[in-house]
Amino acid sequence: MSADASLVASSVTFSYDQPLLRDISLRVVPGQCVALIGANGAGKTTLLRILGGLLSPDSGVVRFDGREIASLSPVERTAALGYLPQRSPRAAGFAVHEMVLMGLYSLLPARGWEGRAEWLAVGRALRRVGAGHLLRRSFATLSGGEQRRVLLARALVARPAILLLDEPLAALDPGFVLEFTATLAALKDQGVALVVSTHRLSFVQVLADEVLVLQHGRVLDHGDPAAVLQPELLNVAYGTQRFTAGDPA
Amino acid sequence: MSSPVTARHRRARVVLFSGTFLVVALLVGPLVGATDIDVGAVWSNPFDWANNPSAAIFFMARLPRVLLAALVGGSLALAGTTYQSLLRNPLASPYTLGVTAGASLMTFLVIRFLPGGGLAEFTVPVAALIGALATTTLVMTLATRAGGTPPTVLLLAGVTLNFTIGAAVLLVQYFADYTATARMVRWMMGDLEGATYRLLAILFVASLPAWVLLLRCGRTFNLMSLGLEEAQAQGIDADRATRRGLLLASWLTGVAVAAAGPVGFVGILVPHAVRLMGGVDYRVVLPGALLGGAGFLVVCDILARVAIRPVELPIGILTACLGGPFFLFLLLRRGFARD
Repeated sequence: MSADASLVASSVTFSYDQPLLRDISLRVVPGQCVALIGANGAGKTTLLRILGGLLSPDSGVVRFDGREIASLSPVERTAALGYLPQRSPRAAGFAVHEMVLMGLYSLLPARGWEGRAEWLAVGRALRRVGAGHLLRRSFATLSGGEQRRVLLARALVARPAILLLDEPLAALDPGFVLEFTATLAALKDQGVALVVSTHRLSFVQVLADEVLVLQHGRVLDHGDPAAVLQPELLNVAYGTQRFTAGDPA
Repeated sequence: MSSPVTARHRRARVVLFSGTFLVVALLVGPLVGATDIDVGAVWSNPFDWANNPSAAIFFMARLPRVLLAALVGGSLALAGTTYQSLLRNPLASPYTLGVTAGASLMTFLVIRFLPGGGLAEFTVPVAALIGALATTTLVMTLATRAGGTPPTVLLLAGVTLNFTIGAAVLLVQYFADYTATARMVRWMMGDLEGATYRLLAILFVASLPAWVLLLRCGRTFNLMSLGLEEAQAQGIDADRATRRGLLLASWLTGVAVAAAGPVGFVGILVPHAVRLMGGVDYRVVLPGALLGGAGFLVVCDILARVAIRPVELPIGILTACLGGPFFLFLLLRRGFARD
């Protein structure tokens, strides 16, 4: 992987029964945070899934470090991308440390087992998201917010170049939102690229270098959050008239 | 952080326990049955079967039967474990996708329309295998045309085919004479009596590659059991993993059903018992199920032979008698639902 590995989406289009994404282009470079905002159903999750290679676009292409995402081997993919899904899996019976360890599976030898290095990495990732004390708990018995933290630790554990985070702040308490924002800021400083879908506009203002406003699968606007997040645009994006001057601080 | 009790340690514990269980069952199995044998005499002149009835019973009747029970039990439990992971359903069994229905239909057609005789040893197993595999292929094809291989689509396609083919099975049975009907009913109860060393050799060679390939799927099954997106996010080709796993499991099921008829409950009961012992990590459950399933069916066969001596019960009745209550115990056990 080159030092300036970036994630580039070019003219991505995707549809199920109807078009969900139309002609979306995006570039994320190391140390940059791009926020995806828009009303429910605007296409944020679909775009994140395409960026992560979980869906194939109908047309257009997503490349990491110049290579198509779909062509990455599992090991290359783990080094490149960490993904936090919007919904937590049921995961009946798995302990927290087992869930986080799954983020390292593809780095283990084909028939090998995890060792001390992997367990240390699991512990580090959990502590980083303030969930070190949950290590031996059953994942299924955690609260929604605790599960988000554990899944975030799993996305972080292999220290990927890019983090794709789908609604990472959902179900988190205000204290941890601040902690989590600081954690992401530190990751940015270390050169990790972030693509975050969120409804928390204050989070976007604090952390994002660029914001992409989606509406009905199209880019309504994009650019510096301070310039883009204006009441007029937000009213159009979210289909309301409630945003006024002073919002969305 | 200190290393937790790792899956590796749990696997060692589970393999040791279930392996010991299997070995003990294999040692005891050939010694008991409807007729008492002189164990000392078996080994005094082991191959003079004409003059040594104990050796004849031991080597010709019981040993192949016990080994057949082990092979069939191991395959069914491994297949059940695979289905439960890939369909993300704890109630999935080797028969969920209609394998039994397909095997039954082909078997009943053979019983109804082909005369018995020299080829009977092969016609029924081959027909059952063809029926089992054809049904699996049909389910996968239907699911693919309906939008891929997500668990819900596969389950619905499997359940629908189970009912549809089940109706055809009843139709064939309705038009069969009493002798053929009796053979059909007997086949449905599971039968280990047809065990021969030739059958065992074929069964072992046919099953071994699928065992080896499935035993290496632990990590993939862990991720698949969480969901397709979870697996894909870790670089797994979920669609390919589903097809490959289900085909291997269906092959094992088809081969087992061809050899012994549809023996129920092993594929549900044993994987859950192993999970109780060693947790849900499929790197632990898969080998535990293979060994535990083999031991479990050998024990069931022993009980089938001695429960109401000298009459032998069909193996399928025994597995259902033991499996039903045990499964209810698991279901009602504290913590099972919570977790």
